[in-house]
Amino acid sequence: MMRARRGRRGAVFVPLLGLSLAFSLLPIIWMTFTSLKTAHAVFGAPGRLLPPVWTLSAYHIVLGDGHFVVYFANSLFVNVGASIATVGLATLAGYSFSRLRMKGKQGVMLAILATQMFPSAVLLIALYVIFRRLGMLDSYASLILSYVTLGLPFSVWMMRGFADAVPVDIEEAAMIDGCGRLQLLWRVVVPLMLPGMIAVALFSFLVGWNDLIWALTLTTSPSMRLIPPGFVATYVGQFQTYWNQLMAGSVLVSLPTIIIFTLLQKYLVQGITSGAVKG
Amino acid sequence: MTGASRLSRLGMRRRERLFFAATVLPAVSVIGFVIVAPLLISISYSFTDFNLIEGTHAFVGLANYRRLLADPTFYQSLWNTLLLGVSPVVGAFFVGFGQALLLNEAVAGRSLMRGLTLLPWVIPQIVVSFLFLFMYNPSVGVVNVLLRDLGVIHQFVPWLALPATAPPAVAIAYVWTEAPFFMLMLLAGLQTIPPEIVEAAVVDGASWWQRLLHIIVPELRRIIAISTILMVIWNFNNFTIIWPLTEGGPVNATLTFAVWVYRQAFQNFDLGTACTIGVAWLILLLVVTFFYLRVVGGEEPVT
Repeated sequence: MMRARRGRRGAVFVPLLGLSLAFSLLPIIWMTFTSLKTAHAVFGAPGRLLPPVWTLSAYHIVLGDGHFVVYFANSLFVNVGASIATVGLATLAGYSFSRLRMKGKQGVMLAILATQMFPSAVLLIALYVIFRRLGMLDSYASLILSYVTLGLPFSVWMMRGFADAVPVDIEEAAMIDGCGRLQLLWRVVVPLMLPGMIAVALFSFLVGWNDLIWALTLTTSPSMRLIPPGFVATYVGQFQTYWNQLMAGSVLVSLPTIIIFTLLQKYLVQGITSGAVKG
Repeated sequence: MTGASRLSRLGMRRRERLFFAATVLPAVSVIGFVIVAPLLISISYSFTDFNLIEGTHAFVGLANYRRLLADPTFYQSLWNTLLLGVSPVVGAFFVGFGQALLLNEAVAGRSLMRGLTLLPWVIPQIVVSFLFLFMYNPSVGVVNVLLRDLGVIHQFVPWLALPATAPPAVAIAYVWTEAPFFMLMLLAGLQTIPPEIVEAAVVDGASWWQRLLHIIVPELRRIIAISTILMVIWNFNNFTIIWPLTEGGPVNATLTFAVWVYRQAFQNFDLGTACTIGVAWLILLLVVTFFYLRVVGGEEPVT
């Protein structure tokens, strides 16, 4: 019965699926092909999808100009640092919030989640003033701390969800065997929560990788710049933009997120959808 | 509980409490000191004429608020924030729901197709911004070339430089990158709907539309609510996509609260005014967040 229906609807289904994929992928294909063109080809034949001559020259220029590599390394360092810190803080707090029996716990959890919704540009103003006074502008520490806060509230919420899914029976058995809480957490709970920790690490990394305003504001010297403000400074507002280079840079910046996502898709999907789907 | 563990219960209690404090405190204090405290400090700036260039920082009462409420830019910015916050979500919902329904039907290669469909959401927002900056470009942009070849326009249009076309152009970029998020959430939801319910409706002779409206949509109500509200909040906060595209222009046509706060605080260094706008923005977000927490917290079993 299912098969018969699918056959009849195939005539609608396949073209719609094609349309959906085209909508999602054509801009990305456009970006990739542009990055393989010469600047001359971009200006000479706008709208032509395929490069007349396939060349990696745009990548050579971007990777060879000395700035991009620095921005990229800065972004990677800051985001990996923030994401490790977020996982550590969120795992401990999420586990305890899950196991803690306390009045008004749900209220505290919702308050934490609410802080995720604060307008970050407004927090940024006070933090900018504080960092400036402490002489911490243009430092990795201020960036890492800021990026931790961007993802931490939601991460605590996510980790509590993952900890809730770990059966308490296992822990009680281990406790009777004389296992302390900390030992228990490290030996029993952490291995079970690993998928959740991966999801949180990814979430935190992606939040930071997407940021522009914090990086734009908290860094000023070129050696400390992250990719987004670095790109804006290099390319936006110039009279003539070298689109092939900008698209080559864009492809390179997209690669880490695409690779991470492809490898760990199921964890992230699970992490993002779990809070909303159950309940 | 066994007798042995009952005996050591009193000693356990104290250690337990210490453990909870030690694990919860780090995260809670980071949230307190780096999120809540700065927010309160920023709110306090809104009652001052704090200006980093002029060096002023004196209490001025409600003067900033009076000036803001008399400023037509404020109402335009409020409208822009609402428009660019809500309209892309409507578009992204319909596109993403359609994609989720399609992928739910596709048995072969579902995870590959889900991965490909997710790409616009996976690539960094700064890349989304540059990609649309390029595609809308008035001299080499593919959007102009396509529309000219289709006969829709006769000369290239600077989409991002005209007050009439800039807001929809920005909204389309949002739709493109956000539709996959809805797809992801709704597909996960679709897969939790027991097939028997849908099969029973088929037996009862319900059409595809009837099944969609009366069975599938009600089943997905909670996911739809959560995803929609989250997306509106994210759009209200968006800076990364909109700033390279328009910087709030042309003539404030895409000036949202996020962009305006940035301009006042970090281009004019007028922190007092920036924080006053920020408070208005915070109130708007709190209203939306209230609904979000009601959906998320309401149906959660209280433990």
